[in-house]
Amino acid sequence: MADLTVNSDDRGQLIIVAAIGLAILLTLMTVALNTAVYGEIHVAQTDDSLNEERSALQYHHSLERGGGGLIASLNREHDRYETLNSELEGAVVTWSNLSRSEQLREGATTNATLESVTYESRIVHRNESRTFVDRSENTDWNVAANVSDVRGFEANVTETDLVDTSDCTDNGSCFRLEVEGAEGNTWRLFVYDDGGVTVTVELASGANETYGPSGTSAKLNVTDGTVDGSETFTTFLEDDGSEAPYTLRYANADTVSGTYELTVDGKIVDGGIDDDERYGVADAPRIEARITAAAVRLRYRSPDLRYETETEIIPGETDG
Amino acid sequence: MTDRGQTFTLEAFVAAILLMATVAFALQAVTITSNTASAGETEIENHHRGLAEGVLDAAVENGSLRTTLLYWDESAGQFYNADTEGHYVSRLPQTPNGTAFGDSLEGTFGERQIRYNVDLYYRNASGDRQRQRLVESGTPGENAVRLVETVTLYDDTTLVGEGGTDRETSLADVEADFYAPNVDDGSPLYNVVRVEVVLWRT
Repeated sequence: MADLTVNSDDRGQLIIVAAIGLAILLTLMTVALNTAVYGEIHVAQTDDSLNEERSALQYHHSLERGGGGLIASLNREHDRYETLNSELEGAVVTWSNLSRSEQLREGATTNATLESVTYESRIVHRNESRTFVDRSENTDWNVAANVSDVRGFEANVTETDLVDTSDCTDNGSCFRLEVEGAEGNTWRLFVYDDGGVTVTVELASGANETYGPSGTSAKLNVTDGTVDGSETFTTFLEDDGSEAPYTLRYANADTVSGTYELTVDGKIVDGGIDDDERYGVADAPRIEARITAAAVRLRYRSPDLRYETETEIIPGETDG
Repeated sequence: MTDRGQTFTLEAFVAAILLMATVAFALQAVTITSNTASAGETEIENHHRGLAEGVLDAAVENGSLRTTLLYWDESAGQFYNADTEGHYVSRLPQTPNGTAFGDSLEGTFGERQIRYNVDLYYRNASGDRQRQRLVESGTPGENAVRLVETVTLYDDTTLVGEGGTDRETSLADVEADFYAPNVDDGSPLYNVVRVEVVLWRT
């Protein structure tokens, strides 16, 4: 049997070892407790970085709302591409400067700059007695070329200047609207007087549909495909052979009078509206430009966060 | 007698471990003073911050923050039903004597023994920072929570009537009688207002 007795000379050492062991245990427990407390405080304090992220996103959203309201206001006040662009650019700079002063007090530097603007163009002709010729009296002219979408196209035509015939599809002297799609296929709409205002639609496939006569005048909705709100025809948007981008063209525009209004995507003149021979401001068809979106680059920098992105601002989202 | 060498070795190892543990503890120990916020207090602060952020975000989203900024009686030169010096004291009034933002703030903090100040900061034409008090409840206590939000005003922004409905009077019509001036005459931008909310527990 093993000897379990301890020499009296070793007892003191063993007591010291046991005491030190106990001390280590207590120290480890203290360290564990301290770590837990530190962890809680640390987590609470690091919420500050989340606040910085919130501030950056807040700046982003306030720019979107502020810019959305600016665009809506500018669209109400101006209708020229250049004016809309310069006014928006200036307003974004002012907004950015005002915001920057406040953000600096929070320890962040910010900046917002206008990168690009997307327009839509409303083409309007409101003189009922004038024919559909352009400002320069051209009878065959491009109303809009290579547009990605046509949103709304309404016309009120009267029989006064219409060609008196029973068939226009030979592309003779009748007024026609031609819409050429991406593949070069063309959808046509003829308007003539066959005992009243009569409309014939020729699809890209060559098939014909005729509506009317409607009386001394007719209301055409080219994008909805209706004549006087009831008879429906196949529009170029529905025609399988015709796809965007579209080029809209008038031919024999001196053989129809009335009013029309259409809205297309994008800027449809190369320079200013006044420089284009097709459009004017009085009797001639005019363009009313509107901003549909603006790309703005924003930058937010704080000691622990750097946030930079380009955002698309659309009109209407406003907080003012 | 033959165990003594092992005992010495064991003792030496234990002493070394104890020394290292002491150094490690000293290196990562947190100094807790009377000024150190306890985890509990910090948690309460964060809770209040979270609530206030929710109230503010909702007010931006539903337009009631904008409505509150425009709840201005230009003929009296103060907010409608203001208590003193053109602003409210202790609390933002609730509808029908105030706005929906007042409903949210009071509904969330009114019964929690929490006081709040709401100040509106903007620039004048020469670029100087100006302040219009909206709610004044005193000096913020320790561990106050501060939140900010930005509201853009336009020339054609219309004021809000006492009943909470939009009026026909635009900011451009009452430039001289509205607290914030028009900082950009040439553009539709009127001013950018920084809304600052400070909350603290009483």
